[in-house]
Amino acid sequence: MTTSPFDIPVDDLTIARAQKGDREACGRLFRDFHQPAWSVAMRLCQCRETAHEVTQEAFITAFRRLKQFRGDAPFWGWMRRVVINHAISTLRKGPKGVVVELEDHHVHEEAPQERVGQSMDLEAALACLDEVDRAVVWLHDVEGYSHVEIAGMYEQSESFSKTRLSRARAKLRELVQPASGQVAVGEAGG
Amino acid sequence: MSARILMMNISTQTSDDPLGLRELPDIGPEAGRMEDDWAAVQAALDEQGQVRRQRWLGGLAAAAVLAVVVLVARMPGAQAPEMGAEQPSIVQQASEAPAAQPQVAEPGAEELMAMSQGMERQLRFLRDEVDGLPPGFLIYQVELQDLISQVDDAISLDPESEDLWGQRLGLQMDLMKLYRSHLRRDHSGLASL
Repeated sequence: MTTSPFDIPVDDLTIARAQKGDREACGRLFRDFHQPAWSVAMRLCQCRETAHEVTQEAFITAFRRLKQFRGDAPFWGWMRRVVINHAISTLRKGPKGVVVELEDHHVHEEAPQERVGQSMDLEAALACLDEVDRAVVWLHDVEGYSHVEIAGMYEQSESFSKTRLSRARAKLRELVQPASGQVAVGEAGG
Repeated sequence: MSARILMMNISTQTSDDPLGLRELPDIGPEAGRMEDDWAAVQAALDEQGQVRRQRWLGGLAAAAVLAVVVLVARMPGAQAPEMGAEQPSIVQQASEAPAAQPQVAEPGAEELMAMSQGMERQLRFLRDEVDGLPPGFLIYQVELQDLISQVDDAISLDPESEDLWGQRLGLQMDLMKLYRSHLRRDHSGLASL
């Protein structure tokens, strides 16, 4: 069962107050969802600054359109969709120094040497993927979206999502588990 | 150690997540960035509130000017415009309202509708020219488009309302100004290189 980092309970009163424009309630929602929003934006865009832009724009849109949230589904799902839509829209507009920012990101991580193993390599491998492949594999495998939902986000057919997922997984396997048993991601991540 | 992490990942892999992507460590923004982002969001919301107030006042003023223009045009003795003569735009009429003479064309709903459609075509062209608006512009764009769709809702109930069509034109003009202002900024940026 997939548990999204967005899956944060929010009381109805906070949402109702935020819908009326209460800044304190908006601030509470912002603080609760900033980390998962930034995280998914970063995973999809692979650029810290772009992730901040996407996060800011997503929250501005969310607060502007909060009245449209009817409460028939969990708030976190609605919020997550707003963030993902912004990330996809930003990616469509064009590249923004993705590779350079990835290196920057690794420096900021300051991970101990021990962590530079499988998980870190998978991270780097993810960054090597085509941006659409990366988004599709992340949205499907981590966020738990169905092919139909992903296809809807890209205004494409279901087979588009399936093909992209299959290709992304194959590429990741190729990068993370090279035939020699040596990690190849660092080379590919160049 | 790598092998240990590898083993851990393999043990948590599922058919939904065969590569163990969910096991990747959490990543977070730099310390203090949440406050910066919140400040930016709040500033945008404040700005939006001001824009809304200004738009409300602007809409009120535009409606008043339009009402005066219509009233003057409908006064006894007002002349009908000559066919083929170049007619001033509704915006020109509004800006020149104090000097408006009886010969000013009566902006009927059909005429306003046609002007609005023409404006829509120009906006489509400008929208294609603009390759992604920065957040500062984006807020205004979303706001204006929202207001236009609100006016459209009202128009669907009262399609012959000259007042509503006038408001729609005013909003379209603002949207056009926004795009042009962004394009000018873009071009001046290029020129400075």
